[in-house]
Amino acid sequence: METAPKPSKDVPPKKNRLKAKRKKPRRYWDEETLTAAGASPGLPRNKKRNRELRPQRPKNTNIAKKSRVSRKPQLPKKPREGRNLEPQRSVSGAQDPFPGPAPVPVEAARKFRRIDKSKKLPHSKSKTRSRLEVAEAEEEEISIKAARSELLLAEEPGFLEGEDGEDTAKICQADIVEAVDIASAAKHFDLNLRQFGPYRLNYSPTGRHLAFGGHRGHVAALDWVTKRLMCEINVMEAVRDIRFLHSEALLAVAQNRWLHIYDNQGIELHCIRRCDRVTRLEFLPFHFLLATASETGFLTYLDVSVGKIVAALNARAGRLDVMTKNPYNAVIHLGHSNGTVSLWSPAMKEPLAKILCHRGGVRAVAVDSTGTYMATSGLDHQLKIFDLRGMFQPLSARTLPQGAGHLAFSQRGLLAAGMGAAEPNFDGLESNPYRSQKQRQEWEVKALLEKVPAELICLDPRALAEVDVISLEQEKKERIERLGYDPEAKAPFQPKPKQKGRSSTASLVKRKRKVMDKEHRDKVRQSLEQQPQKQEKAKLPRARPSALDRFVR
Amino acid sequence: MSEVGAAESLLALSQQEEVEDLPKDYALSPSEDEVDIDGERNHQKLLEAISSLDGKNRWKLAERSEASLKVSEFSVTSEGSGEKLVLSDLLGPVKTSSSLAVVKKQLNRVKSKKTVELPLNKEEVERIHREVAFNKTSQALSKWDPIVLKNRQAEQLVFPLKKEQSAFAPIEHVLSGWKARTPLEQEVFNLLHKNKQPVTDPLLTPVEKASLKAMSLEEAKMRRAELQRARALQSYYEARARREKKIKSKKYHKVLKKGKARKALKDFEKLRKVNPTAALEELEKIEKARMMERMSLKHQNSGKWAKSKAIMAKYDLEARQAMQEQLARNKELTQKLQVASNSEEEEEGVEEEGDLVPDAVNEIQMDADGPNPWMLRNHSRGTKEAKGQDPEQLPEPVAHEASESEEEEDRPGAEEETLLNEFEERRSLRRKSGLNQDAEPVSRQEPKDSSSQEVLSELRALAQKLNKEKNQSGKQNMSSTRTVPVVQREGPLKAEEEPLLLQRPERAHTVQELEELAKEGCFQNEEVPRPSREGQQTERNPNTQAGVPKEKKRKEQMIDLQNLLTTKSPSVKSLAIPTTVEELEDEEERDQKQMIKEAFAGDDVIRDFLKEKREAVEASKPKDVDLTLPGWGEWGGMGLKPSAKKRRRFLIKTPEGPPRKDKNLPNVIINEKRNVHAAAHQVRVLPYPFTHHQQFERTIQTPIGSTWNTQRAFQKLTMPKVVTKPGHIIKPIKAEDVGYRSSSRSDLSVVQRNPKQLSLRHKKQLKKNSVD
Repeated sequence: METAPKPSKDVPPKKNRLKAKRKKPRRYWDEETLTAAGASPGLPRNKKRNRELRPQRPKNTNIAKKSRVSRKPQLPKKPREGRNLEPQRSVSGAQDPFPGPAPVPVEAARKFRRIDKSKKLPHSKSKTRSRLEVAEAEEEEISIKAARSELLLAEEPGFLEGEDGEDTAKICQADIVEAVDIASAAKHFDLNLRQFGPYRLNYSPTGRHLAFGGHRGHVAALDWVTKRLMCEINVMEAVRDIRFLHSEALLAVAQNRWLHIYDNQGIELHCIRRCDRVTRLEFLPFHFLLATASETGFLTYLDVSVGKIVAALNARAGRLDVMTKNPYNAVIHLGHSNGTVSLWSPAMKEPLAKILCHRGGVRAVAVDSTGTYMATSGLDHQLKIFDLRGMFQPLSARTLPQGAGHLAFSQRGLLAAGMGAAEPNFDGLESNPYRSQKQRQEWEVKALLEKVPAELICLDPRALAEVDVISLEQEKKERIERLGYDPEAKAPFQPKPKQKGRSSTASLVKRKRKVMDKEHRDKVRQSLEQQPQKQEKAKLPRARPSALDRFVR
Repeated sequence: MSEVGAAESLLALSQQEEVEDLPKDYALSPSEDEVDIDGERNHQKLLEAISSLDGKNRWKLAERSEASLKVSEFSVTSEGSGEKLVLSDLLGPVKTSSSLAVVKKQLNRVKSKKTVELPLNKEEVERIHREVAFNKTSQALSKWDPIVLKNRQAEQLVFPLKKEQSAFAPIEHVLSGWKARTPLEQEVFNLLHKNKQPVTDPLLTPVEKASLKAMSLEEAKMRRAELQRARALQSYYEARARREKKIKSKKYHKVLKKGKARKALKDFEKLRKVNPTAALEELEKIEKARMMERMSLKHQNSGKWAKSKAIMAKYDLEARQAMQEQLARNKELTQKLQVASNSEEEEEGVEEEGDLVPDAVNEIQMDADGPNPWMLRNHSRGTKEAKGQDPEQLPEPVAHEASESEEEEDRPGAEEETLLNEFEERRSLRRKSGLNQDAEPVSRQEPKDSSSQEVLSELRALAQKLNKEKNQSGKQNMSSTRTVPVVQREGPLKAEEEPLLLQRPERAHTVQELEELAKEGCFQNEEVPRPSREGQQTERNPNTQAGVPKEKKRKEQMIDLQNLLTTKSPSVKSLAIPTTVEELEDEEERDQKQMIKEAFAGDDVIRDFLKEKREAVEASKPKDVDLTLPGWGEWGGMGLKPSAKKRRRFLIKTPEGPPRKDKNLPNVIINEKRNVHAAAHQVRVLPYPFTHHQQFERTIQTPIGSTWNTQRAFQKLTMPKVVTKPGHIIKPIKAEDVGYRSSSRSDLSVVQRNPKQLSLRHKKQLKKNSVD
């Protein structure tokens, strides 16, 4: 079975509107009406989509079509090509009404595209070009495959819809439970925990298990689906935070003094004394890193697969008690009392970026699952949404009466204030809530094998697919020094010999001169283009503002 | 080697000759002094016998058995030569020597022949051989080029090359041996058999087969003849039509057309009497033609011809007539046909008949009739939108966002709507939101504004300071140019801060717009129309003047920090305000603001941050190198500094790096240091065919892991380049494998006969032999 991969980051989350746009699954009996509709003017359709929906003709006409697969150079053998394009005769004599692979709408496939073709490449030789073409064709084919497998995501997300004039914010959980189907209603549960103070809770990566720790030492973990209690202990110490590690079998608890790790029986496995006075915990599942923020102002990364501290970074901003992770690039966001949010990677001693968000201290930070938005709330009672894609600018801000102490994004991009919306099509291969113990063990091994090194955490995770230009240049320079000449340098222009007396020395020189002049002109033009900026810079301070300037339009 | 050998043998030969010559002389000498003949000869013989004993130089001497008396210069003896002289030998030359033609000929031939050139140097010969062989071989090999290229570019190569025919039988064969076993299957087959449906051979049912067989020979012949006749007739008609079509006379065509029309009318009349339903259909056709005519401008006096005639009409009677004719024709064509049979139609016809009103009116009536699907659709959509608007028009500032999203979800038949439609709706939505914003109660806006004004006025001083700092970045001009409109708009209170306020960039104000932005980023071809939005913005923000590209603007302008923190983005007003805020009293709110203000009076977050940023920028700047040596060439010592001129002379300025990423983002410090650990994992050498790193980067954009791909795609991406079957011999490629005809000359075997290789081998063998 195939699962659809997550779309690449560039696509903004569509929220609940996705539902409206989702296409109805096509049935074979729709075929006639569809083609008819394409011809009649009565049903205005999206032209592009219409073209895509048209069933592909049998092979002989298909060659001229734009289909990527057919345009590719014909190879001697296609090992795993699923379906033959030729309409096959079956026993009954009926022909396949849909010969060839199922058509895929362009928009669906575009979501999975990775190569930005709008970027112009420097001129490439034919050999390079053929390579590029192959890569592009491959990418397109893969995106089409991914789009096609999106069909398997049959579940549709739910949404809240108030009646006319009804404020959806006023609909409470009990109402929802009444309204939804039985299966969904069965997932609703209440825990009455009054004794042990404010609680922190955390769901396991699969979403099946729930751990919570009360400020007065109450630690418990349970399978919330079956309501089976895995363990319940009192650690006789204040619990600051609690977090599942890569699986539900391990549990990190930030206690008053040190960081402790328990298993799902409640047995203490480790007491990590190097992480003391921890206030917040975050686990980075793909790197197997447990990030801890402490009262002492240190951000410590602990590799839980080998039990080593990878990095201990001093944030130099006093007590740290606001922390969240960016699930997209595994960068840790810390909120500080001076209204800034700093972004950290274990590979760098300094923060990757620092954003001034609030006039007062930052109280809570949350990042959505695509890594596009960051929500912050501060002591100035403001709630702001920031764009994390390069510019770090606030998109919207609003004042809350009391401010927000906790923020969380749900899987479908709703900022949680008590309510979220979960992804209906969860990735069963990635985190399967119904997995058996055997499956869990196998997954664990696989995940460990695929562990990402900690130093790869950076703001743009796709930077890894870029060439290290600096060292490339450096090596080139060294090579030129070693050889004494530049092997890749453009050869000086050598005029071609011509006949009928046009190859005289004078004309050769003239031709040479012409080319040289052209190159020189280009160079000058380039430098001129850069100059005005500099000139403006130079001029501006000199020009004295006059009183009449205000009337200049 | 061989040369040396030859020389030796030559030497030996010449020696022999010399030796042979000697005894001849010797033999001649006794003839001169014949005194001691016998004694001498005996002595000589003895000597020879002795000398021959050692076996070294043994040679046979011409023996002389007769007396030497006969020996003279003028006679010929055959003695010593071992051959006997025959008489014919003596006679021959006498005959032939008379003409020397043969000799002459031979002489001529010898003369005409030039001297044989010196044979080429051995190396040169070999080089020529090599060249020829190379050419031949490369020619033979060049036919493999496409195959080599193909194999290099192939995604996967499977060895051994000879593929076995797949043993899979087609499914028909498999199924032919299949028998119905289960009761259901049997039932189905029974049914099929009963109805004589084909079970295995899918082409024809027995009935069809029978019908095929039923046709007799005569019938078939008749049918053939019929078909032939039909074909012939068709061809005649076609030829005629072609001929008529070629006729260029306009008059002819006019007459023809009229005749046709008349005939059609007559037919219609006839049809009406005979077959009213068919007549109705006909009528519809005529009606359609009328509609077409009305839609077109064919006879409306608007064509080129008509215009030219209109000019002439004043003077030319004919032209006038022609124009009138045309108009009449138009009238005639657009006139509705009266049909007595259908009462309903008649009524409508009566309504419409007499009118010679303008077309627009007609169209509206048509609309009411509703034959025009487009008009109908538009109309209904309009009503729909009107309906959709109704709930939105309710004064409900709380849940605008929700209602917006609702509205979008509600869109009827969303999957069927065109892009255009979507855009239209969005536009209307936006317009609505704009309206709402305007229509929002003023009372709520006011306190907010006032509070923000307070905050702003408090920070005025700081803002001015900031403004001074940022003057370098070239904003001042802009700000000063745009003061006037703002003053008019916002009053004198904020006059000082305006420059700052105006620096607000073109940002996405709502989530929705952000989405659009993102879309723009992703799909460049998709253009999002946003006229109403822009209108708002221009109203709000005079910076955006028409004609200035937004992107550029965004880059150029420095975003002001103060703005970011104090003033809210304007979308907030239009969007939902949390319910609880709504409940708050104005006074309470004001109190709260006051409290917050007081709480943060002490710490100036912004200044601290700016200071930090300045430090970070300074730290990241490349340092200039100062190479001045104090005291060199001038006085030195305590308290003496090298002169400014000198310092300037020896200061090496480092080139300015690229601009910082956070140059225009006042609220952000982005670390520009290189992540060395991550760089270690990056590619640092460009692989072969790529000349620029961007090219290579494009080929590694797609991740190949199964986490990011479907199973199929993953398998395809990680497919091995070469697949071999274990236990199979992989033979070198042959011409037959790739479909070439193998011929002995042009095959690869030419390589084996390469003379160079041959000679080399030969030489090696020789050497080996010589060593042995």
